[in-house]
Amino acid sequence: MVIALCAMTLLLAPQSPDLADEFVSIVDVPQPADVSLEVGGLLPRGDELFVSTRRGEIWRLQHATSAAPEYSLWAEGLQEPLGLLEHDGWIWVAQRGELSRMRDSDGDGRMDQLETVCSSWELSGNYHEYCFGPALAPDGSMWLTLNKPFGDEPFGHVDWRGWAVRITPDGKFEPVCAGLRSPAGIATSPGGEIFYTDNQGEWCATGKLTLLQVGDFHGHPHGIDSCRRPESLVPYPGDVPDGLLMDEAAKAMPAYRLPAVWIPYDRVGRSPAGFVWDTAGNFGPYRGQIFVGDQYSAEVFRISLEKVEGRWQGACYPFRRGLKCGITRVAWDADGSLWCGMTNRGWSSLGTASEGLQRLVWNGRTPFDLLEVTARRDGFRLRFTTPVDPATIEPDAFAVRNWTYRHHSTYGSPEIDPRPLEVRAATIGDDTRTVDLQIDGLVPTRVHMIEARGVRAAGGAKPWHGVAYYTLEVQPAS
Amino acid sequence: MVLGAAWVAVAGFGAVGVGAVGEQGGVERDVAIGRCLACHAASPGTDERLAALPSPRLSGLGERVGGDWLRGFLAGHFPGRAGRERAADVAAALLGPAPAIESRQPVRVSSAVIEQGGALFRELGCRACHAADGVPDIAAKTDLRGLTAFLTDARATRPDLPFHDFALEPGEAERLGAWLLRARRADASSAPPTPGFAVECFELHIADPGLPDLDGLQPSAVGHTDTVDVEMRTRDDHFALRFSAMLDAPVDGEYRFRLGSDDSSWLWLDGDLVIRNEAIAPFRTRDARVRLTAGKHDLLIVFTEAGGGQRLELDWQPPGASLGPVPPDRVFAQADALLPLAPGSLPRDGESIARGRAAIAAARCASCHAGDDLPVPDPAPAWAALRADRDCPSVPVTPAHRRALARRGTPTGPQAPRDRLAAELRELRCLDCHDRGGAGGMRDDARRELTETEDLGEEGRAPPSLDRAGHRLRRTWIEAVLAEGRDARPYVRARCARLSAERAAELAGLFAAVDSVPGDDVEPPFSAAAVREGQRTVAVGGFSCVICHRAMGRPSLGPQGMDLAIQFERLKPGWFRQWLLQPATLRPGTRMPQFWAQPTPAAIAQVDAVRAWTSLGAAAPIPAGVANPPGSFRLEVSPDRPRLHGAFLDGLSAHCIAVGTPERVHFAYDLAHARLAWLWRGEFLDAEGTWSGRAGRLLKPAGDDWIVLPDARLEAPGRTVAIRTLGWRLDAEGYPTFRIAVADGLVLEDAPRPRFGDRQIELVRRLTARGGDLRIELPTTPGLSTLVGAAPQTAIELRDGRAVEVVYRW
Repeated sequence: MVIALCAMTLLLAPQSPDLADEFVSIVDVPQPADVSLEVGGLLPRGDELFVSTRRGEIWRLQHATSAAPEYSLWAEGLQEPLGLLEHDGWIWVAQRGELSRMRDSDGDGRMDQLETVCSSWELSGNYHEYCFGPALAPDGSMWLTLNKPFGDEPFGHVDWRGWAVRITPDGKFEPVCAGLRSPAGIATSPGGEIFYTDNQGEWCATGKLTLLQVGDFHGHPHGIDSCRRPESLVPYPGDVPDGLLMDEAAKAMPAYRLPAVWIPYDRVGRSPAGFVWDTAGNFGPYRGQIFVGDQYSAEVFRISLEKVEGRWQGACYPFRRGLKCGITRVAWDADGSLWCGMTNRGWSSLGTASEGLQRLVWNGRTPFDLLEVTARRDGFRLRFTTPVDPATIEPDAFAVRNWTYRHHSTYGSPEIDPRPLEVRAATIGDDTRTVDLQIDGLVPTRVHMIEARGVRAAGGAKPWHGVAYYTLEVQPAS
Repeated sequence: MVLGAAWVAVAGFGAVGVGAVGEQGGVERDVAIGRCLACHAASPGTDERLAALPSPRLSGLGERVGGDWLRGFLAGHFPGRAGRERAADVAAALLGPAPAIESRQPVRVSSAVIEQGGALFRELGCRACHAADGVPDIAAKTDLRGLTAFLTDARATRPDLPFHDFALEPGEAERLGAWLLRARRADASSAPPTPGFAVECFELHIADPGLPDLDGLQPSAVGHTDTVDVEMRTRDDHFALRFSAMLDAPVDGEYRFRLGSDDSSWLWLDGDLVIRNEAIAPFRTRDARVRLTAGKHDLLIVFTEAGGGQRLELDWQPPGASLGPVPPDRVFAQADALLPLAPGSLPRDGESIARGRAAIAAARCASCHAGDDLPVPDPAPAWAALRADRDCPSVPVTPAHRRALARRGTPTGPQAPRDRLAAELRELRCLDCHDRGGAGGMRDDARRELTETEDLGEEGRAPPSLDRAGHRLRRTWIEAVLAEGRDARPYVRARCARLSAERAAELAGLFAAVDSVPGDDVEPPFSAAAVREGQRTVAVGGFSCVICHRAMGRPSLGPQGMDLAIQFERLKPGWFRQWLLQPATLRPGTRMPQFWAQPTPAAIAQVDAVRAWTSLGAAAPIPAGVANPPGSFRLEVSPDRPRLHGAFLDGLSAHCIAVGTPERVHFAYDLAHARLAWLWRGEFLDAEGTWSGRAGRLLKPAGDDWIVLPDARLEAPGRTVAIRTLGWRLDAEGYPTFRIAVADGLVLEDAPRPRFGDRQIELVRRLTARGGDLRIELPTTPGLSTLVGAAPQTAIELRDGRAVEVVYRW
């Protein structure tokens, strides 16, 4: 109840829809009444879009961004295909029980060849054993994340649930990471690394974005017995203690990979899913950042990452709310707009619809906004999208606090031990867009909430969103 | 006729038909009602039908019959003044010192339920036998529990009413009972109001956030609650709840109401919509401020849930108070109560009961009635020894009894089927609803009150004529209708009674014996071409039968006429042909069009093709133009391409693909175990388990003739067999070929495809080995023939690159 009301407040308070519309429009996509688009995967291909659905179908939309896309059924009979990727002349798809590749060999507009590339993991028959991906690594391998079951396992308990696995180009099955919970998004970074998003629950304090590296353990003990199997590339992580704070957990479990970014529940979405990097500057000033769809809050939020002492870390920020349903997948269209694929079947979400497609279109105007927060030895550096009014830069214009989470077996963690931090100094840079905050009390493993409440643009505008949540895993030495 | 009237009172029927009995059989049936032979031993040659009818059971009478009523009844049941005098004692003895029915509490029944009961009474056609205002005296006889028990299972206590099993749902029986007993509805001023809300649950597809029309829907549950929440739901998705109550406002002033829901909800006060909380979305609240006077106000809430989570809350804030739930003592379910039977004035003393038991013995009640601890009567004189001018101590003697006595010794030959049928139709009261041979049929006043659900004229409302029923209908169909409640006309709401299996078989046999015409059961030839021609004929684009007729449970495009898929099972071929060619010759005034000007050979061939198509029943190929109802998850297969569905299949694995074909012979492949696993016919799959909620439920075929294939054994000479699925390919028509790795470099291609055989559709499995030779054992299972060529075979040698066709018939 409290949580729901909190979300409602957030929905209504900080962002007027009019302001959001000014920068990012939400464009509806016409959908025939007899077509269900419970979106599992999106694959834009020039003028057309392939959409895989939870009903096991792949719909092809020709002239996809036009006012009247033409729908045709390209494939059916798949099992909950939650991701599509084109590679090597084939369309690759992650199904519950296999990684497959497909093609339309006779060019009649329907898939007629499906090859099972790998089906080396089994299914217990539990509904929650979703398979997400694939993400293509530079070495040609395909990475998948395998959700863990909840409840009945009618065909018996199986290995590799809550794992990330990798399928090599010759079809070899390699289980690479353990301890995942509900890893609804997986994608390859511009640098060729694989990241994934996970959803709050037991052993997952809140939503997160995390790097997947071979051998890492991500905190959930459900599938760790599989570490003892010969195929496992993850050493058995040992006992997972219940109830430690994050700094304690990091110490107690050396194999535990902390997330790059915690995504605080109900502050920025609830259930992060698919994500993309904006390498082309489709969304104006946010080039280089990550845009994440949320399965609950029907919003797209953004994440910035930086590498500190060899580890990725960064911050998340609100971006655009008010889509019509929880978002499972996002993908860039060739025209620079962002496809948002949606479904909320089986869970609740904000919005007015239960499935479908919308697009976010950047309107070309740059809002005054907190663009990026990066860590410094003695505080944070804030960059804004446009020049700030120097007169508004003073310590009181900012509010900073931090908290930690508990790593435990119960569902989600409250924000533990919240502490307000004192901003000792706020210094504006020569570019008039950068502000360095000198702050006492930064603590690694804690989430730092930074609000730029009093800052104004040179023209007097308030920030579109003036808040960031930075997960400080490592404090820079210099 | 005194006796007849007495039974009328027990049964509550207007006229049991005693007076209408004919003389054809030589013995009048009202004599049989006398059950003379239950007491008087018969001599050889006595007509056995004299004792043919059973009597009410007397066990547990105190659960269902009030004492005062029973005394009144018994006063007429026993003959003469003596009967009247001992009625109180016998009633006391039958009911015992403390009958349960006299110690019951008032039963909460809303006025809506009572009204629905009245509508149901008319809709079901109860009016064919009963008076418009119900059953006289019933409210004095029994209470809601007793009446509901009778309506639900009449045969348990009333074997004398073999025609009173209407397969009522408990809710229907309760509604009917509440209406029939409405004379005992509590006066609002005397009955204490019931705190809380009356609540009903409805199951319906919620496609949008808007307000559904619940009027006329049958609730899936009806109850009572202290709090507005979703506890009363009967399922988690696609349902509506309706709460009604009288709100007692404590003071004049402005009241705030907060209605929160996931998904939509609405609140009305005194008929005005004050909160509209419409969205298919997570929980959120809406507030309204309303000025109310102190006192009673009508409150109504409707809630709908499409999918996902469900939640509903109501808070209020009276003037000067804080926001919180409406306390149960401020709302009163708008439920009337039915008052229990008042304790009667029967004597309860041991002396009276003893006198009553003596009277029961003297009247030989136990000869006819089963009951607990009934005194065993002394033997009565033999039938042959009775004097025709004396009275009987048990029942009043009528002129008919005396005529039967006078005929003693006259041999009665076996009754002709025609007479037996006539007697059965009368005794089972069939002709109160149906007409036959120009007689019978529902009275106009009752017929006028029947519900019209489809634009099908009188054929869509009234029970059908029984003219030539045995020429028209297969004997097995008549039995299924009478014994199992098979219903060809769901649009006719008047409900036919169910008979015992023996009685149904007897009646069906009599219809066949009386009405059959030589040659009316000769089936026309069957072929694949005929099935396709029939399919085209009934389809939109052909004669468009599916515009007025349902097909395989799917709605038609216009009025929802009788389902085409059951007609082979139902109609004899002779009638079927004539009905399609010249319907008005069989049923003047029918709405069935005549499609052919003349019954030419070409017309007959086309009708026979339709017959061939219907012979596949629910497994017949779906004609063009037929669609699924909205909200259904039933997977339709288009006429031109197979349909694939990935799913968890029960007993196989969570990694399966099912293939539905236009031929309506379907199969499933277990991809996890690389094998063809299931075959079946008719309906393909209901995908609700895969396509609703979080899915992942185990599916079974939706159709019939389900075969689970045993595991095949594969051997490759000199190679290690390790089987896994490599994928599948689709040919130009969309039929799959599964590719199975058997050993390193050795692939088995498996292409199953339906084909028309002789009278049915079979599955042909084309198997090809690539990269070596292969031996396959295909163990069979009961009911399944496995053939290669024409010969049964279970072991197959596959030579590299050469296909072998395995045929499955079942």
